[in-house]
Amino acid sequence: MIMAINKGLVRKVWPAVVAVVWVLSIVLAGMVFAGSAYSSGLAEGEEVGQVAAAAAKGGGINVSWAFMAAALATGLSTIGAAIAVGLVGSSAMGAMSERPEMAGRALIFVGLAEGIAIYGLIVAIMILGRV
Amino acid sequence: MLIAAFQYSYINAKLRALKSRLLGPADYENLLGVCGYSGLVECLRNTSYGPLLGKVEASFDGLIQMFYQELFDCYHKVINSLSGNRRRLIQHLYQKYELENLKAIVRTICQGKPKKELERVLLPIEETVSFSQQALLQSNSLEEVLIQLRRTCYHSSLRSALYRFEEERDSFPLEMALDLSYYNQLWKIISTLSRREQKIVRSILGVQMDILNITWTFRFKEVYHFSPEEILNYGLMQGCHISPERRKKLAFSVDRKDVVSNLALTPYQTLLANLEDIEACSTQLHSYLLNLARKNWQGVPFHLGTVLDYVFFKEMEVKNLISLTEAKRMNLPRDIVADHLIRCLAEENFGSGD
Repeated sequence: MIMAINKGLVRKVWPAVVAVVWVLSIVLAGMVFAGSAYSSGLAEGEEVGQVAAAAAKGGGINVSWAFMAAALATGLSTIGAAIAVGLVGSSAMGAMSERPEMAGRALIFVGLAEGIAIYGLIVAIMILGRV
Repeated sequence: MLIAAFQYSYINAKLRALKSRLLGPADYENLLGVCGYSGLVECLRNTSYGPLLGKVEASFDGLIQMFYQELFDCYHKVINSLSGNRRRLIQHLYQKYELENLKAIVRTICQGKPKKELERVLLPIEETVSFSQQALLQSNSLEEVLIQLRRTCYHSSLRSALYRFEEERDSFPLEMALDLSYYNQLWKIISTLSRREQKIVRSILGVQMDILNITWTFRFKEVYHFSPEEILNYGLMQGCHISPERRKKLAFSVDRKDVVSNLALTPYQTLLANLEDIEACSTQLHSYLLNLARKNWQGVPFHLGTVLDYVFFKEMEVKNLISLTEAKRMNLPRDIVADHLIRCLAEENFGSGD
């Protein structure tokens, strides 16, 4: 009985656990990369003037958040795209195995799913452009 | 919903591609309009069966075997696209055809007929799941059949019906015992699914069992003249709209009118109200189920119901094609053939559904 309840609970909770672990790891990675990018920016002196200027104004924390936001935008959108491509790709293969003439149309949908990652990348570039 | 989309995205796309190859209303109209058996074969060459027709001899038996072979290929595709208990359920549905072969073998042995006759009757199942058909074909007596089936769910049911066979020297109790065991097993497998899937599956397979219960009641009363108690014994315990109390009422009904009146407050009463023939009743009830399956097919696609719907569509297509083939071989008039096709009710209410 206890085993059955545990199994049921695990089955219900695992997607949420996986999602939380993903988000936390991305946030952590974003913070680490933001910190190292900020310090390397300072070392290079004038060439990364904007970073240095922001740091001089006491905006260092804001810059780290910007890097983290860019990392999150890219990371999460890539994960989303991966899930979408996985779903659409497998469905496309299923349909194509029965009707090969659908290959062209099926690939369009895989491309649409892949576009989600590109949106994230664009948002990240826009964020980094303002740093 | 997201998890369901993960589980069913592949098979849903596959099934929709497979469904597009099923015969449409225009194909049926063409098949109904052709003259004779050879006309039917020529007309089939313009459908999705065309490429397969090149491989088989266009004899009547060859054509029927081809229809079943195509159905079994579809079953294999569906089974290979599923996992866990869902796979087990569809596999069990496929085993229904294995059971048909098993019943044919048992019948032949009981009647002492030569096994050569079986070649025409046996369905073309290449891979059996629960028993070895080749080993069964070597059996010469019921005892040998029982030995071959000792590790299957059919063993105990056959053994329990053996005394009736010895009393009556008729294979009917054995065949009914196998059928009842099959449907009990099916219901057990359904109960291993998640609650949401159980509800969906029971709404489809439960109606199928109701249809079996109703048509069996008609047959047992009118053809076999069984006593009410015996009809009750041979009925299926499970179903969707027919409760055990109602089943009892059906078994104790005096005639067909009484059976239909005892189906009050179920969807079956209005369907059967003015029908005279048992076959017409069966066609009407299956058309109702086709309506349900089409409604289900047009809704949310990510559940096991979609899989069952496709399997049902394919089975009905094969039934219709067999009816058409036999009718064309006998040169029956178009109207009579059209009445026996399981599609009319669905098209009136839902259009083509494609």
